[in-house]
Amino acid sequence: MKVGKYEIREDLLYTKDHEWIKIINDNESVVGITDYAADMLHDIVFVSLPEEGSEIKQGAVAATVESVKSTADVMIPLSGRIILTNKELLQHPEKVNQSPYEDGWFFRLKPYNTESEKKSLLTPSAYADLIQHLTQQS
Amino acid sequence: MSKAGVKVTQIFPSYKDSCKLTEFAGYLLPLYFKGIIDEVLAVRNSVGVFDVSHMGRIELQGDDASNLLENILTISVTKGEPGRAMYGFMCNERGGVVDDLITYKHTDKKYTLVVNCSNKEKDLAWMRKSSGGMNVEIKDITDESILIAVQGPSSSKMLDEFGVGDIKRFRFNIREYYGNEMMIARTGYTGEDGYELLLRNVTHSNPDKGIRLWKHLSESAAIFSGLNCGLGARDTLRIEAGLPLHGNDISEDISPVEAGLERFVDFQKTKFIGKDALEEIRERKHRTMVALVLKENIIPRSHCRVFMGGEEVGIVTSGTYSPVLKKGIAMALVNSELKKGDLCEVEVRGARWKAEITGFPFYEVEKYGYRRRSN
Repeated sequence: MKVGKYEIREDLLYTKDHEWIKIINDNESVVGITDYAADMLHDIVFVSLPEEGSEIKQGAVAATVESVKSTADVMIPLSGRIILTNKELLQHPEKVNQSPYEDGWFFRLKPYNTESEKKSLLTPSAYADLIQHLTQQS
Repeated sequence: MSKAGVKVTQIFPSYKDSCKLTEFAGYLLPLYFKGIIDEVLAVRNSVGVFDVSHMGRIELQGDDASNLLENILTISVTKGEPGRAMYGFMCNERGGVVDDLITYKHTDKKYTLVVNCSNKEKDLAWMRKSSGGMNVEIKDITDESILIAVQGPSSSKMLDEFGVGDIKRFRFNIREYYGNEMMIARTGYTGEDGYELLLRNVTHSNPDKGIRLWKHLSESAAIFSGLNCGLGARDTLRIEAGLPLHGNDISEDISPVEAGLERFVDFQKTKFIGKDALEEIRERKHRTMVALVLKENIIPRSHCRVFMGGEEVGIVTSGTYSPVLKKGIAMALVNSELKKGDLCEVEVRGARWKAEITGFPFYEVEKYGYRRRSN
């Protein structure tokens, strides 16, 4: 679905801080930032990624994104262990702007408490409401 | 819709739907059109067009216009002949910078000043206070004129139709545009060759000629593979060139001498406001402005602290990502013992990152900037 010019995918869950998470199965999820976040940051030039194997608690900083004019933290949507990072972004950070939901993914993780923590995530329609609200303000 | 109390320039309606807007110094202005990096590279490689009508424009007229400027500016306007554009500072008694500005000399009795948007009211009050008993009229012409910058190596070719060929750097000519007076100056804030066009008699209620000029320049730029540019590109370009921004790199507390801009302070003048303090600062100078290039993929921002061997040695005053260098760069005010080639560390988000002290401008002068080898 789309809110204004922003794409929101139906098969993902979201955070209010504009991360998306795709829950593939109990052992694997993929995380990135949303179309809206990438557009707000604009011209992403550097990305830093977490170490593979590191364990990060829900809501803690897992990666950072730097654009010409600002810096943003990427928070982990579910507690877990990082199993793979998208090192392609170190050479080509512009992929986050070009393809936030596909080539611009940040990391894959093995979540620990998927069911209990999932309740705090936003459904696509709840995230769409948030974007609707944010775009009307400006 | 703009929020209550926020100003826009006279030509805002012609671009408002084609850019991302941002609020700056009380104005709603373009942050970028196509994108900051694309716009920076357009100016470095071809040409960019900027609406800078938010900049304050002040006209001084009267027998004492030169006397007033000699007293409040760090440079000598009487030494310059008519047609000169002169960069300099208005300083306070402590040698701090009230504002930096370009003074355009029409005659000994008439000058146009271009000042920073956020300082305009302060500047007007400062000039009025300093002109007591003098025969000089100080007039704010910001709302009855527009200012458009055309910057980049293709700017001379692009503006050929306006006969800019005979205008030298930091000189200006007066032309006419559909009956309105237009001052074309070969000045700018990007480090590149370029021009600033000041068109008179364009108001919010009668903006047509201003909008016509903006549209014309935008279309001309496109022919030269140029772009409309916003404030994001403007700030990044001026940092790459090592040009100061008032409030960051110079301020009421950072003097031109410390900021490495002594060449715009004429100590041979018998007197001007701030001269004694500036002479003293020159004697016991303990801070100096340096160029830092980050060795890692990190962007320094203003207020980041600078360290050397574990000791704090200064602070970043402006920082950005340089599209030309593809690295994080910063202007930093540091202990004056630090010199070119020294390695230091910049603290960003709690961690320290290696940086090297280089020189201004950040780019290679053979390849970029107005001194580049002509192609």
